[in-house]
Amino acid sequence: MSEIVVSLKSTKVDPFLKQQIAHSELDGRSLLCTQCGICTSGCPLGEYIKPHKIVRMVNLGLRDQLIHLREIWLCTTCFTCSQRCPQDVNPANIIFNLKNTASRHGIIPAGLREICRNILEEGRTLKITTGREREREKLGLPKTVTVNIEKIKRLMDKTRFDKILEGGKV
Amino acid sequence: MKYAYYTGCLVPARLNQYDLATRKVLGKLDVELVDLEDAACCGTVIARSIDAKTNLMMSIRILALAGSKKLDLLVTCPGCFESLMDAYTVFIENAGFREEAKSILKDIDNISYDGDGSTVKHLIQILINDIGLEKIKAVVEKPLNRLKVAAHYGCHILRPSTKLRVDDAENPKMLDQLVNATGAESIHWMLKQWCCGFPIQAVDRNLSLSIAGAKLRSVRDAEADCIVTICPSCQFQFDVLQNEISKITGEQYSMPVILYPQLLGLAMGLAPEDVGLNLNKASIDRFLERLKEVWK
Ligand code: SF4
Ligand code: SF4
Repeated sequence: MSEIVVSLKSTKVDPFLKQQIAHSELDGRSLLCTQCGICTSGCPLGEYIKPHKIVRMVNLGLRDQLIHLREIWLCTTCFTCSQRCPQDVNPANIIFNLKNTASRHGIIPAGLREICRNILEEGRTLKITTGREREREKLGLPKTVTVNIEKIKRLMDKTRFDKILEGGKV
Repeated sequence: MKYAYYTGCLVPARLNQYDLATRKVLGKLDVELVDLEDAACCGTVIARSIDAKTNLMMSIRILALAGSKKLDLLVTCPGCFESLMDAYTVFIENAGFREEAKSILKDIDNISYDGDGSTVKHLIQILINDIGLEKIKAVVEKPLNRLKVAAHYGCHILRPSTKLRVDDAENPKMLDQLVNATGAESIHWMLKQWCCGFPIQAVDRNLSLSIAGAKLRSVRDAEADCIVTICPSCQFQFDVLQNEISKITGEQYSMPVILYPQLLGLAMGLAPEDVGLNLNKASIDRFLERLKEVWK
């Protein structure tokens, strides 16, 4: 996997990226970062992802580079970085934010898009097969609760999830 | 004691034994469960990766459904737990989201939700805080003495602890106490607090499984008899996918992986099939042999 290369020459800079992140529901306080590296030292994927570098790039406003980084999708969301950051920066939330921005530019890993389509169509990440229902019956378990998919579709319509997922501009 | 009960997606789709063992064990401890009808996916970090607002809405809706029943909500999946806690925190702290969520809930479910009516609790919180270790020890009929257990918490029950407020994130105790309450011994192992790798399955399967492989090696090196989990994702990763992990890492682990309510059920005297042990995949024969020695 390629190393993250911070290049100030190659891309436009978005000076508002850090504010945009700080004011979203997924708060992340990138400006407080001192680049101590504690986040990366505890990251189970530190070999591939460097959360401290990602936070630095946010502060530099390297929006275009960030949303094209494969690394952001390799974050396992373990929250070790956010737990340990002495400055309460919340790198995990910053990475979520970047993935949300990438999604709005149509950049979503195919496997993830697939699971999200399940949520849209079934109201669940995975389909409950008839085999599983039969297994439940044999075990003496009640049927899996039914989900009113129309309600979920309306909810998704309000948050525009379907449009974001299909890469349309929202 | 009575709770609304939410299993999330992975349990009914892949791990019915978690549901079975939870109902059996809580039944023996006089807990009544009411299945939360119409509760869809919580969105979890999957939806959050694409759009945080969608995840928040899906999760707050589940809390609102439980709230309208005026029952605290039992969840068995730490992924759901973290997601519901996160949504609740944002609902309370962020007025903009709160107003928007209230109007969507009113419109879709005709629920007036203001954050009251239900507290979300993970299974281990109910076992320790609501039922209590003493009561659990009192129902252990066949103690699992000398069984060496590698307790595996899972990330989303621990971190970030400022939001989840379950246990000490760097030195957690709750699952270890619950394991020890069965007579078994929760042992020290190196990579205990690490992520199992499951959430990046859909992005990079080999990388995801190689993280799990490193953890399995750590458990094997610590000479554990089994791993005990409380998370459907961790359970699926270590148990169902153990063969595939072996193929990728070129190592054989032969490590049984047991869900905590299965372990507790066995210690309470339930038969292996009563807690769905036959549905677990990895080295269950070896585990049953070990149980025979333990109970001799
Ligand atoms: S731990 Fe916090 S302050 Fe230190 S580098 Fe990481 S984000 Fe910055
Ligand atoms: S949340 Fe992501 S970036 Fe942070 S430590 Fe975990 S894997 Fe690394």
